[in-house]
Amino acid sequence: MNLHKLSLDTIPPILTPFRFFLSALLFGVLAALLLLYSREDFWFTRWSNSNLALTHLLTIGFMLMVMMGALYQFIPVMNGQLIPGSKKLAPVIHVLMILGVLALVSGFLFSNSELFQAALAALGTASGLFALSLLPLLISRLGNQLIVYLLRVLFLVLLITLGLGLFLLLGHALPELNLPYRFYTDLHVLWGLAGWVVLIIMAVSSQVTPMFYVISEFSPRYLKILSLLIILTLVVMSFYTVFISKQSGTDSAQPFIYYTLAFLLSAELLVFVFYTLLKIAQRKRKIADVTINFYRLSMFSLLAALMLWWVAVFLPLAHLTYLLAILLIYGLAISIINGMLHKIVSFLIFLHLQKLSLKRPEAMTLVPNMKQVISTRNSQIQFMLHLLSGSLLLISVHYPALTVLAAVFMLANFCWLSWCLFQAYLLYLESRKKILACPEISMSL
Amino acid sequence: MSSTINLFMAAHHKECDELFAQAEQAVSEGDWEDGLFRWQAFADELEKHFTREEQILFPEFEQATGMTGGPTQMMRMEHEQMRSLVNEINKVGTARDMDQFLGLSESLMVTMQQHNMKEEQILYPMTDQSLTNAQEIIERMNQ
Ligand code: HEM
Ligand SMILES: [Fe+2]
Ligand SMILES: [Fe+2]
Repeated sequence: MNLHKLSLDTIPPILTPFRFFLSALLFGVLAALLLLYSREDFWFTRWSNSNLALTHLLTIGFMLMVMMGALYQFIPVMNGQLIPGSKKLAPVIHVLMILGVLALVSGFLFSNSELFQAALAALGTASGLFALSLLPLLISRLGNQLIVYLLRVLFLVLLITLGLGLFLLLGHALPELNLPYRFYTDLHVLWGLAGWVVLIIMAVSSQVTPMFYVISEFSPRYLKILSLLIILTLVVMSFYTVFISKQSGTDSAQPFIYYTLAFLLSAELLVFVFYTLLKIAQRKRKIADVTINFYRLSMFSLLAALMLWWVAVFLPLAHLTYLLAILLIYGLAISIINGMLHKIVSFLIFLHLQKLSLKRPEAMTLVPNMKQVISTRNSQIQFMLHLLSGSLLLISVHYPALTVLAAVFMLANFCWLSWCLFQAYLLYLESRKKILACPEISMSL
Repeated sequence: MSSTINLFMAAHHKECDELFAQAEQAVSEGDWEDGLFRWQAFADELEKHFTREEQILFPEFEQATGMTGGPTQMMRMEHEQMRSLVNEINKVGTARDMDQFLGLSESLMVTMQQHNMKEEQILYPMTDQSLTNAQEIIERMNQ
């Protein structure tokens, strides 16, 4: 390995992750407003404009944005090198993402193929640039192999999801091509939710929970085998869908192979749920922590989704796809992100201020501790709002009259998150000013 | 017996983490007597760990690689940061201020984890690669 390129003093500027987090919040708020605006109509059909728009406000506007910001922050810690372009390219990627999401969403809302073309250009460029920035890391042999392995897997799955997404988008952007895109929508969703979301939670929790909660390391064999199995199953399912079920026509019964594959996938996801819950239960740091609640909520959402899915095989369930989408996107993915954002942001602010005070001994006491940055009470309120809004969303699928209420609580959830992070950032600016006012001592380094 | 510096030192990190968790738990339950006793045990173990690194491991690393100003210097500075956090926690512990204690201990925990992660992912593996007398160093640190 190249010793001289390594540095243990690599944190990107605070705005690099923050700009992604802040715009993610904005998209969360927009999603809630969209639901508030469409009300009962929202549940009319899965293919409604507002449906597709809201889905992507959450999946790329919120989830993907947060992931990008977090990767810029944490890869250097694990790897000793900044992601190339952390300072100059990241803002460009960020702006392209914002424009892309806005164009995609308004394209859906107004069924406008020019907007779709703009979205295709912006999102295609943004994901391409981001992929290129990560490439050196993915082919390097630096540091811990397990992390690099997990990142490679994650990258692959994300690329397939986004690739399929861009292909679907091409169908919308250039209708004259007559692409049979809808045929691939389920694959896009499957790779996105069973692949990307599950694997990112697996990767993050295996790296982060042992640190924060004093849990014994996740078994590398479990991580490698399970992630490989999930990917293989998804690959086989994709081939099956594209090459076999296509020929026999989607309507004809094709149950056996399909159900075997579905069974395999759900068995793998069950292993994931129970392994994660077991690890959390075994944590040595038992002190009450809201993030643990978010973690459990997330795992139980996946469990509920799997159960519903199987019940639906035997009993027809109304609105199954809506329930699954809410459980997987709002329950599985956004719960964890919500909890992690509280922790990550209070830590980031503490970290940057502490670093600033290093050369200013008098300023040491001016650094707010993590719970002063975001209080436990505010995190608890966040959890209640998230739980409540998620439950209301599920209920309103069956009682559409309640959609307004669900939307209001969803709005409250994202606004509260924005408020917590925003006041944390204000505290950062304020403390920074005070710290910088203290005299600096010279240190020989 | 641990065969690499990374394994040996990482195990000691875990040991400190566990002592930390016990102390924090006791304090959060309002059991100051037990909590502060355990806190002292943790602080002693942490100091022992820092000393091992600063007095034995880092000098060996610096000598073997010729890198004196880089990574090890950064790690020493972070040790100072953590020492000052421990000091502050000692103070609020004596004053039995639970909110301050838990806020600061959370901050220390995360600082410590981030520091340990850098060592385990980067510094220790580099050390294992560049040193040939790992066993001997481990034994010296164990004394
Ligand atoms: C570059 C990124 C993405 C683009 C361009 C994109 C594009 C699209 C398009 C055009 C559709 C509509 C397909 C149709 O009309 O049949 C769609 C559906 C969908 N996408 Fe994406 N997508 C992206 C990323 C994601 C991600 C990361 C996820 C989830 C993790 C996701 C989840 C979904 C879901 C759940 C649907 C189906 C909605 C429904 O069935 O009502 N997408 N996507
Ligand atoms: Fe250290
Ligand atoms: Fe250490």
